[in-house]
Amino acid sequence: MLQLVGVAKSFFDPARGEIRAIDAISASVPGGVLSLVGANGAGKSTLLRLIATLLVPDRGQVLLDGLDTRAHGQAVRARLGYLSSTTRLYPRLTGRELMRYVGGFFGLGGARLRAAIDEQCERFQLQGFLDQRIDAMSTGQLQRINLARTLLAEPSILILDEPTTGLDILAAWNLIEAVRAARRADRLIILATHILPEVEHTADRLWVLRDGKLIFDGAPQALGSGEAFAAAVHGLLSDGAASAPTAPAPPSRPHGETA
Amino acid sequence: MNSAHVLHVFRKDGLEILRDRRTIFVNVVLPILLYPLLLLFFVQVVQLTNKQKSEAPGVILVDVPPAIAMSLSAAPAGPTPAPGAHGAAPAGSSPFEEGRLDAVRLIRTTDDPALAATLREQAAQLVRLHQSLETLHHSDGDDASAAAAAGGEEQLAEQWREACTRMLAVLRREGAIAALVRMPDRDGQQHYSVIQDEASRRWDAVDGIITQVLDDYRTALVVSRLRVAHLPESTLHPLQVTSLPIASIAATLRTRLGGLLPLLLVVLSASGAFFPALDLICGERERGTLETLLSWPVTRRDLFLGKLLVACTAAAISVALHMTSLGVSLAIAGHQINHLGGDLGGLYAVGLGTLLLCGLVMLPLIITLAAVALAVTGLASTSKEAQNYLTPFTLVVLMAAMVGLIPSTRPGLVLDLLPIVGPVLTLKESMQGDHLPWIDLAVTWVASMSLAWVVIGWSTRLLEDERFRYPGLVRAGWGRFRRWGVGPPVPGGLEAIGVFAIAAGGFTMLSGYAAVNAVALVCIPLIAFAAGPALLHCFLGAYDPRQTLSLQRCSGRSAALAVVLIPCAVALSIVVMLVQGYLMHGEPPAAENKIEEIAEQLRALGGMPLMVLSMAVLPGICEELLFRGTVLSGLRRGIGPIGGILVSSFLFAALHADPERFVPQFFLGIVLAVLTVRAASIYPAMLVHAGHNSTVLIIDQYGNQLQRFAVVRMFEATPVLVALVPVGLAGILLCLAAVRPHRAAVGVAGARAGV
Repeated sequence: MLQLVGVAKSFFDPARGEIRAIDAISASVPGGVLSLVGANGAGKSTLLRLIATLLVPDRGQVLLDGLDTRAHGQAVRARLGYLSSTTRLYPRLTGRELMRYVGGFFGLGGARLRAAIDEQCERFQLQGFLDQRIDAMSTGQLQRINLARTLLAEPSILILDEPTTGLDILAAWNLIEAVRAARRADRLIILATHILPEVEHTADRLWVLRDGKLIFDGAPQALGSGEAFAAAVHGLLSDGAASAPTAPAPPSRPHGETA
Repeated sequence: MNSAHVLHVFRKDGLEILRDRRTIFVNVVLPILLYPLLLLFFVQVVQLTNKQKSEAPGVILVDVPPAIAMSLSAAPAGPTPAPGAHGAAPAGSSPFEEGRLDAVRLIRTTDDPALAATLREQAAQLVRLHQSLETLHHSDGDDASAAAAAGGEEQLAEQWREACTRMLAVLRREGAIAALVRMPDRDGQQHYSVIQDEASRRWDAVDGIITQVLDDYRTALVVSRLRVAHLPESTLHPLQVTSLPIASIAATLRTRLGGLLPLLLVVLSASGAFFPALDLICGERERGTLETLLSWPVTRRDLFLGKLLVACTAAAISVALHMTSLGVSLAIAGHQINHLGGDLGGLYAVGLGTLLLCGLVMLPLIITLAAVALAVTGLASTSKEAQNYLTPFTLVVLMAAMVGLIPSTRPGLVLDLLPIVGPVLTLKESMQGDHLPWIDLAVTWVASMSLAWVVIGWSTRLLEDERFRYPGLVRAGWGRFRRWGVGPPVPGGLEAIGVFAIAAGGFTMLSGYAAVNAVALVCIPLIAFAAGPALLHCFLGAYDPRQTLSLQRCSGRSAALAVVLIPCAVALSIVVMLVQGYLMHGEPPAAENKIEEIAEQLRALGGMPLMVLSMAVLPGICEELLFRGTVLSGLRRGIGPIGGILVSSFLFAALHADPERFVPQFFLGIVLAVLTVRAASIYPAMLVHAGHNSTVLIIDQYGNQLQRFAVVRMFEATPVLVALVPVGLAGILLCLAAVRPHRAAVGVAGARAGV
C-alpha cells in the first residue's frame, strides 16, 4: 500500500526559479496497477524517485506498507523493484552474474536464488543469452534482463518509469504483457508512461500529474475508452479539465524528462 | 555493518575490475613490465654507447716531458680515481696499472716545429693577456691606471677574444680539444698551460685525465726531491686513513632508502587507489547504474565499504607489484652494470621485517587515500571531471610525502598526527634509526586509522545525500540568501571547516601585530575571530542557534557534573602534558614564556580578576561557540558524531598553534565535545573550559609560592598517585556518562544517540 501525505519536492532552475516538481500531493493506493501520466516535467519521475527513496521529500511523508521512506529507507528498498528508462546494467557482467548480484542484496542465496533465476529465466525466456555478457546484448534482451532482475525477489511494489522507452513495438508489447502477468493481489505496480493504450489496457488506477499537482485520481475507465480516453487525458494535461473530446491524442513518444 | 553485503559488493566490483582491461593494464601489467623494460632499455643504451667506436679526443703536447706523455697515453677512460692516491709512481713510469690506450689521442709536435712554435707563441700571449686581465680585476686604483695605460680594459678583452679565436682555430684544425704547453720555468717552478676547448662535449673526461696526470707528475717530482733530501716518502703523506664499513648491506640499504622509499610508497599507493576509484562510483554514475544500485536494499555504508575494499586491494596489489618489479629490476640491472654494485642479495637484505613494517604503516594511509579518492571522484558527473578533481589532490599528497626527502625531518608527537606526513616520517625513522620508534608508530597508526574512519564516515554520508546521487540538481541558495525552500537547521561539515579557516586565518594574521595592551591582545582575536565568525555564520546561514551553537538550557545535573569535571580536566591536562614531555624530551616541558608574559601584564593591569576574565572566562565563551558550537555541529552532520568530536578537537588543538600544548588541548577538546553532545547544550562546556583555564592560571600564579609543580613531583615520585590516573579518567568517563540533556532541549534523542 502506498500513501502520500502532503508530499512536496522543489527544484531550482536558474532561468525559471523554483520549480515545484511535486506540490503537496496526498493520495493512497492499496495495490494493483497504478498508472502515472503527465507531460514532460509534470513530476512523474520525481514522484517515483521519492517512492524509491532516491530523493527525500521537502515536506510530507511517503509511506509504503506503513513505512516512512525517510526513516525506514532500507526496509522500504527491500520491498520494491525499481526500473526506469535511464536504468543501465553492468556491462562487464553476464545476465546470470547480475541476477546473483541483485539477489544477494535481497537475501536470496543458494537454492532459493537458483530457483528464482530459473523462474525469471522461464518467465522472460532468457535461456539463450543469460550467460552472455551484458555489453553484447541487444536492447530488447537488455530490457528483459532488466525486468527479470527487477522481479527477481518478487517485490511487493514494482516501480516502472517509462520502461518501454527505446523499445520496438514488439518488445514494448511483450514488456507490457509481462507487467500484466506480474500483477498480483498483494503487489502494487506503478507504471509511469506516455503511451495511453498501455494505460488503458493495463492500469487499475490512474494518476494524472500536471505541474507537480495530482489533478486526477481514479479508474481509467472513468475517462472513457479509446479515442475518448485519449481526448480526456489530453484535456486534463492541457487545462486540467477532463472534457476535451475534440482534442487530438497526445504524442505517444516523448523525448526525455527533466527532474 | 552487514559484512555479507560488503563482501558481495567487493566480489562483484572486483570481478568487474578484473574484466576491465584498462585497469588490469595500469595496475598489474604495467608494474610488472615497466621497470624491467625501462631498465633493460637503459642497460642496452649504456652498453651500446660503451661499444661505440669513436675517435679519442686529441691533446697536443708542446715541450712536455716524456713521463707526462707516457702517463697520458696510458690513461684510462671513465671517471678518474680520487687525486692524491697513495703510492704515486716516480717520474717516468705510468701511474696506471691498466688503461685504454685510446682514452686520449696524443699529438706530439716534435715532428712539426712550425705548429710547436705557433702554439708556444699563442700560449705565451694568452698567458700574458690572462695575467693582465687578472691584474686589472684585482688591482686598486693605481694599478688600474697602469693597466689602462697599457691599452685599457676593453682593448685587453678584445685582444683576449682574438687570441682565443686564433688558438681555437689551431686546435680544431689539428682535431684536438686541448693543448698542454710547457712554458718557461719561473722561480724554480715548472710552468704548464692547459689550453682547453671546454665547449667540446668530451672535455670533462679529458679534463679529468689531464688533471690527474699532472697531479701524479707533481707528486712524483716531490717524492724525487724528498729522496734527494734523504727524507722518506711518508713525509708527503703524514696521514693514512683506512675506511672500514662494518654495517650490514641491509642496514645500509635501509638508511639510503629511508628518505625515498616512503615517498615512493605514498605515490604508488595514491596512483594505485585513484585509478580503480575513478570507475567505482563515478563510473557507476556515468554508466547509469548508480541509481539502480541505490534503489536496492543495501546500506550506503556497506556499499561504500565494499567499493573501498576493492580500491584498497587494487592499491595494495599495485604497490606490491611496483615494489617487487622495481626491486628485482634494479638488482638485475645493478648486477649487469657492475659499477652500480647491486645484486639480488642486496634486495633480499632489505629484510622481510622492513617490508612488513612498510605494509603496516601504509595500510591506514591506503585506506584514507582510497576513501578520499572514492568520495572525490564520486562528486564528479563524468570520469573526466573526476580526473580534474584528483589532480590537485595528487599534488597535495605528493607535497606532503616529500617531507621525507628533507634530511633533517624526524617524527614527533604533533607531526605523527598529521595525515601522510606522520606515516612518511615514522617510516623514514624506522628505516634510518637505530631502533623502531614504537610510540610514533603507534600514534601515527592510530591517527591515520582515525582519519580513515572519519573519511569513510564522510563519504558514506555523501552517498546518502540526494545531491550526490543527482549532481545536476541546482542549489536553492544559502542561508538568508536562499531563494526558495527551507534550509537545514545546522550547517554541513565543509561549511564548519570554512568557519574554522576564517578563525585560524584571523588568529594567524593578528599574531603578527603588536597589540596596544595585553587585554586587546587576548580579547580582540577571541571576539573577532572565534565568537564573531560563529555567531555571524549562524545568523547569515539562517541556522537554528539552539542546534548549531547548542545555545539551549542545560539541566541542573549537567551543570553540577561540569563543576566536578573541572578538576578532572585540569588533572587530565597535566598528566597528558607530563606524559608528552617525557616521551618527547625526557623532562617536563618548559613554561610558556609568551603566555606568562601576557599573564603578568594582565595581572599588572587589573589583578587576578582581569587575568581570569581575559584568559579563562572569555576563551571559555568564545572558543566554545566556535568549536563546540559551529564546528562540532557541522562536523557531526558531515562525518557523524564520533568523527565530529575527534576532528573538532583536533582543530581546537591546532588553533592554539603550540606543539607543546597540542595533545593536552586535543584531549580537553574531546571531553568538552562529548560533554556538549551529551548535555545537548554548550553551557556546561563553557563552564568546564573557563574553570579549567582559571584553575591552571591560579596554579601557575600561586603554586610557585608553595611548591612549583608540587603535584607533578608527587605524581612522579609516588606510585600511589600514579594509580590515581585511571581513577581520574574513570571519573571523567562517569561524569560524562551521567550527563543528561534538559527536558526542553531540542534534538535530545539525536544528541543522545550521537554518542
